[in-house]
This record gives sequence, C-alpha cells and structure tokens, in this order.
Amino acid sequence: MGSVYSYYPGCTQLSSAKEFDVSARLVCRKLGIDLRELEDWTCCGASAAHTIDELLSIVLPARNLQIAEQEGLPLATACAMCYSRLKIAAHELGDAAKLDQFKEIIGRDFHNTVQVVHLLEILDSEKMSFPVEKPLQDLKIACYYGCLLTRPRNIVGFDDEENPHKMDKLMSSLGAESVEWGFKTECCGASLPFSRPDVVLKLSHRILYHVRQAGADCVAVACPMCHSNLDTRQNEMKAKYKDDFELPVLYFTQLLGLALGFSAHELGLEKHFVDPRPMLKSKELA
Amino acid sequence: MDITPRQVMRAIQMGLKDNVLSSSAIWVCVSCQTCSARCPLEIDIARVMETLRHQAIREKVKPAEKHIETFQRIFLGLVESRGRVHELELGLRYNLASKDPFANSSLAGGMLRKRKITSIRPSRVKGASEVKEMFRRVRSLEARTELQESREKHQ
Repeated sequence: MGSVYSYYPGCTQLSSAKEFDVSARLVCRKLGIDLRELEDWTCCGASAAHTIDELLSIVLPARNLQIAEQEGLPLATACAMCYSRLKIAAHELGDAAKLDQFKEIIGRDFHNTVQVVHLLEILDSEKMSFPVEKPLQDLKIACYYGCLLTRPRNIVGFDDEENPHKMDKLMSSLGAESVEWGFKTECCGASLPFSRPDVVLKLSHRILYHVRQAGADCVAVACPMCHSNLDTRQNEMKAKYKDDFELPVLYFTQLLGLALGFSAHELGLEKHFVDPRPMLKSKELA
Repeated sequence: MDITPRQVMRAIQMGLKDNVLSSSAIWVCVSCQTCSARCPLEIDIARVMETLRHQAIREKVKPAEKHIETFQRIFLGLVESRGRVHELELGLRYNLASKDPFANSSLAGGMLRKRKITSIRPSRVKGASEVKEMFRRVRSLEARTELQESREKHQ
C-alpha cells in the first residue's frame, strides 16, 4: 500500500534542475509513493522574498499551503529551498495575527493544518523498502545537506543540525559507502552566484576540497541551488584555485534511481556539467 | 563582509544604526543560519540580519551591495508578473539591469547545451493573477502600517 502526497515541484525543477524532478517522480512511482502535482502552484519566493520583505516571504509559500489544505494531503517536495520556505511559512502562521493577515491577503479560508515533508523524510520511513536491482557497490558518496534542510532546527526539525544522516542512511541502504566528512552542512553561497560569484566560488571550492579530502567519488545533494553552485563552477575553481576536482555532483534521487535499475539517460545524468557517467561506468553502475 | 556578524550585534548594542544599515554585511548574509545555530548566547543572528535589511529598505538607505539587492528585486518582480520564475529570463533581466549583458554567458551557454534550459519562453500559470493581487495587497497593508507607525511616533 503506497502513500499519497500533494507534490510541489518548484520553479527550478522545471528548468535547470529538470533532472531532479524527473528522477524524483521516477523513483517515487517505482516505490509506490503517489505524488500528485499541486494544482496551479506558484513560486515559494525562494531567497528573494525573505531578503526583501517579510510579509511576502510568508504569503508566497502560504498560497501553496492553502491549496494543499484544500486537497487534503500532506505536501511533499524534493527541493530543499522550497521545503525550507514552506516549513518556515507554516511555522510563522502559527501566530494567529499573521494567519488572519494571510487570510485577508489571499481572500480564502485557511487553517494551517498542512504537513510539509521532504522526500528524504518519506524515504526514511521504517516502512520503506528498496527493491535494489543494482547495488551502488564500490561507490563512495559525500552526502551534502547544505543549510536549508537542517536549519533552523526548531522549525525544520529534519535531522541532526550539525551531523545529519538521513541521506547517508539512504545511500548505505543502496549499497554505497557514505564517507564521514565535516562539511555536510556548510553553506555553498546560496543565491549569490549572479551578484557575488566570488563568494560562491570561495565557499563551494572549500566544500569540494573537503569532499576530495574525504576520498569520495561524488557528491549527493538535495538542493538545486547547491547543485548548481557545486557542479557548474568547477572550471572556474580550476582557474582560480588550481584545483581540478572533476567531481560529479548528483541528486540523491538520481543515485536512488540508478540502484533501482533506471538508466543514466532516464535519470538525466548527461545534464550535469561534470559528467558522472565515466566514473559510474568504471564501477559498472552506468 | 565589511563587518562580521559579531560586530553587527555589537554595533546594534552601541546604537550605531547608520553604520549597520549601510553595511555590506546585511546584504552578503544569505541566511544560511550557521551563526544562529551556533551562537553560544542563542541570538538568532540571521533573523536580526534579515530585520536590518528590511529596515534599511524601509528607510531607503542606499544598499552597500547594489547587485545583490538588484538580483533579489528582479527575482521578486518575475514572481509578481508570472507566478513562477524562469531562470533564463531571470539571468537576462539581471544582466541588463546590472549593465553587464554578457555576465555568466558561459554558464547560460552550458545550460542550453546540456538542455537544462529547454524553453526560451517563460510559462504563465493560472495563479499568476492571484499572485499579482497578493503583491498589491501586501503593499497596501504595509503602507497602512507604516502610516500608522509614523502617526504614533509624532503623537
């Protein structure tokens, strides 16, 4: 018996992180997790709303919570950024005055009863079993959680704030080796790649440096922003820091998909700037 | 960052409002929340930084990091007009606004080559008009609150 969720893809999953959405839907279908795309969803406001305006940072994600409440299902997302904004909005609307304000703005009724879950939380359930067709043996993975899944602890409550393990546990159960390393929750530079690329380059370089030190073959992520910062700038890192990482960065859903028997092409592995296929082929995984 | 988060907290205690609101620190902070999670005095530093940014905007202080503010405003503008954000449009509009039309062009080229960006045209969703109306209501609500606050101040 599978579980049913309203599904919030998020804007990035429609374009630069298309492979995240595609692989999430594929693995969920195979695992009996029924994701029903939220009707007429709109942007959660991402990093922009809370940078500029507090009220917008609540009402933009809350519009989607309101639709999910009408649909009567828990709201699932795979994007760490959307997850964070939806969770924070639900938390803020615990305040009665803010809830009234939101209802006035949206012009519809809302009781703030929606449960927001990240796909990693669903996969972490004890009832979950993975019909692994191709164990990820000999694959060393550095699981990178970034900021948004784990902080603030009192609101997202996703995992241990300093040393989360949900993704590591998942990768281990697929036969991979998840490496111990100290940069699981350090920031990659988030939404600054356009406006302060120097900051992104410095922070993301530091993270990949430690991935390499830990001896990992690749990085697993749950956030399209982290993915883009770590994957698309390795050429620039080579030019600036003389570190030629060539480290593939994959969404956790793609690694899960590989283990469940989907092909590299079905999972969109060719879309990454650093092509993970040669490394995976050398381990007979792609 | 021109001043560190710790210095921002200290400056607030000392009442150095102008220094804080015109700092680059409040804009470079991306709310990664690491400082809030680790502060031994349990100060929610990220939240304070955010509040300072909002205050700087309200008081029309010239942002020390013009590009960061521009990027976030363009992003929000797209949400307001379309309901969702289309990354190619975001990049193009940002480049035009920051007068650097070819910035990140190798990145955009790679995205197109890898077929990460497949549609050139942004889609418009049904909910877009409702989102636009929400922006309008948020603005009018905030204007009302501001007016009320300034009246109370002058009484």
